[in-house]
Order: sequence, then C-alpha cells, then structure tokens
Amino acid sequence: MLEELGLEVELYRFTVERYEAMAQAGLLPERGVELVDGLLVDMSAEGDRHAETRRRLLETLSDQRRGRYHVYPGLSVRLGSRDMVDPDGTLVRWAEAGVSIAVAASDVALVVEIADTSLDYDLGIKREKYATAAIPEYWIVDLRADRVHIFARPDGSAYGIARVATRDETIAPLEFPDIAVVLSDVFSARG
Amino acid sequence: MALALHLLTVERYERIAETGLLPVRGIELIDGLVVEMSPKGVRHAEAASQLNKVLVLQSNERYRVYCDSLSLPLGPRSEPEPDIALVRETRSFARERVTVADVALIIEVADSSLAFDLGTKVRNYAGAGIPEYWVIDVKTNTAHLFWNPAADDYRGGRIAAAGDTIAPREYPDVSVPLARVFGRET
Repeated sequence: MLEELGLEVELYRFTVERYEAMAQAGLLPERGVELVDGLLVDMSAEGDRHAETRRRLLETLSDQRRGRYHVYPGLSVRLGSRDMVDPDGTLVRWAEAGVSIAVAASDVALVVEIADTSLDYDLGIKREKYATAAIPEYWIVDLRADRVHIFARPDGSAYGIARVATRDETIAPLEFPDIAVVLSDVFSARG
Repeated sequence: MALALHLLTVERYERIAETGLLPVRGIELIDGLVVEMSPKGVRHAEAASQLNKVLVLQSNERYRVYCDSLSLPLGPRSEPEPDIALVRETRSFARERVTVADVALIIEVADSSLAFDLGTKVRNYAGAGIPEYWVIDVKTNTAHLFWNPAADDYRGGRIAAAGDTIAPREYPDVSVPLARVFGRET
C-alpha cells in the first residue's frame, strides 16, 4: 500500500525510537499521528458516530474487566522497529504498574479499530501489521455496514480465524470468553 | 481510503533536525515529506565537481557557489538541499541565513532523480521564485534550463545538448561548457 503512493523518490523512514523521541520532545501532534512502515501517517478525523460507538464498546469492555485487563482508548502500541500505531481501543492484560509510554504487542489481548472511511486500510495494511506483530485478536467495527470483522490466531502475516459478526450478535474476546459485547448496544443510531 | 501522510512544516523539520533525530546528510523536506536524496554516483559527483569549479573560477566576487552545503527554505513545507546554488555576494554572510531572495541559480544534477527534479522540484523552485534552475541530466548528457518563474512552473525553458556552452542569465559572461561538465572533453 505504501508502495502505491506514486512518489518518484524514497521517503525517509523513522525508527520507533526516533519517533518516540520526537513525541517526547513535543515535535509531533499529541494525537492523530501514527508511524506506519517508518512514515508519519495522519489518522482520519473522528466523527460523532465513530466517537459514540467507540465510547459504548470501550465502556462495555471496561465494565466487565474484573481486574483482568486494562482498557485503553488511545494507547500507542509498538508493532515492530518501524511501526507504532494508536488503535481506537486496546485491551492490555492486567499489570501492577500499568504501562509507561508505549505498550509492547506481547502485552495486548485485543485491538479494536472503529472504521468509517478507513475500512480498506484497517482490513488491509493494519490487519497485516497486527498479525505480523502477533496481536492475538483484532476487531474492526465497520460503521458503514454495522458489523464487526473479527480476526484471531495470528499466523505469519495473516490471521487463522476470520469471521464477520452482524449487529444482532453478542461477541467476546477469545481470551475472555465470558465477556458479552452486545453489538446492538454498541452500534449507535445513525445520525 | 488513501493513506494520508503527515506533512511537516519547515519549522518543525528544522526542530527535529536540531534535536538530532534526523540524519545530518542525505535528506530534504519536499512538500512536507522527508525525502531521501538518491545516492550520488560517480558521474553525478564528477558533473557537480566540474560545475562547481567552472562557476567558482568565473565568479569575480559576484556570487558564491554552495555545493551540497545549503539547506534552503522555500516556503512553509519545503527545504531542499540543492546540488549547487549560486548565491549573490550582496549580503553579510556571517550573520544571516541565505534566503530565496539571495539565490541567482539552482542546479540539480540528476541521474536516477530526473523525474523528481523535472517535476516536483520545478514546481517548488518556480513557486518560491528562484529565478533560474538547471537540471543536469548525466544519463543523457543534456541540460534542462528553466527561467522566468511563474506560480508553479517556469515560463522560459530549453534543453541544451552536450556540446553547448551555457551561462546563467544573471551572469551572461560566465561560460559553462557542458562537454566539460559531462566529462566529454577531448
């Protein structure tokens, strides 16, 4: 995908270390930028329905956590030497001290992206990145079709399990199967 | 959705560089993107070196020649490092930074970067009002000359062949024999 930018030149690619140092020095916007393949990428602006769906999903996950995990609405997750992304929601296994600046992929139980205009990106390059980094489970909440793409069991650069849940279903993370995410409660009414 | 790359301003780019988080050499900011300058081959180095020598020898204290050593802010989102910049000898160099207004001519030597130098770079240099711009193509031994900048292109332009002798428009007495630049002198 990044090869399709159509530029006649090579772009300089940052390492995660330099990216983090830039963020700490206040040289990057606080929110809305990710590092993908070493390039600084602007995340799309969050619309009202995106924000509302995200709030509902993260609240229901948070309500049922019972000390087993943390729910982060905006956490930088390091995926490799040149990738550091900010998923819409991240379930991190419970740790005494919480996390510092960026969490490692191995601490993550589930990553959630809410997709409005970004569905192709989330289904494409993001899925490959999360699988490659061995993020155990990845949900894409598709706001255009009111359904959730569920990917689990990373294997190489793909996921072994892939299915789509519709808005009348109740779903749970593989790692915490007792949790009930009632999708009809998550998808807010269309404005 | 097309991936939206984050665009840096010149100000931020310079601050990142000052913090030591960018390579000291080999990059430039073009249209908000940090671009890797293509590796310079032998012919590139030879052509740049010959141009430098020819121009310096005829300067008569009228201009300075910056070779690979000038980062020139062109506007809010571009700061290229031209292969060669002819800067008028009219300012107090020790104190002030070179600005676009001081530049008489910019030269890029192209081997693999020709499309970029003839496209994006033309738009950037013309847009900033750089009065004259040469692209020395060491693959085909031709020189693309541009002058009279308009909004994002040059109104004047021609292609000079390997046997031609060219001159900067601001210093018409300075002669640049391209055969020498291309190393084809007999």
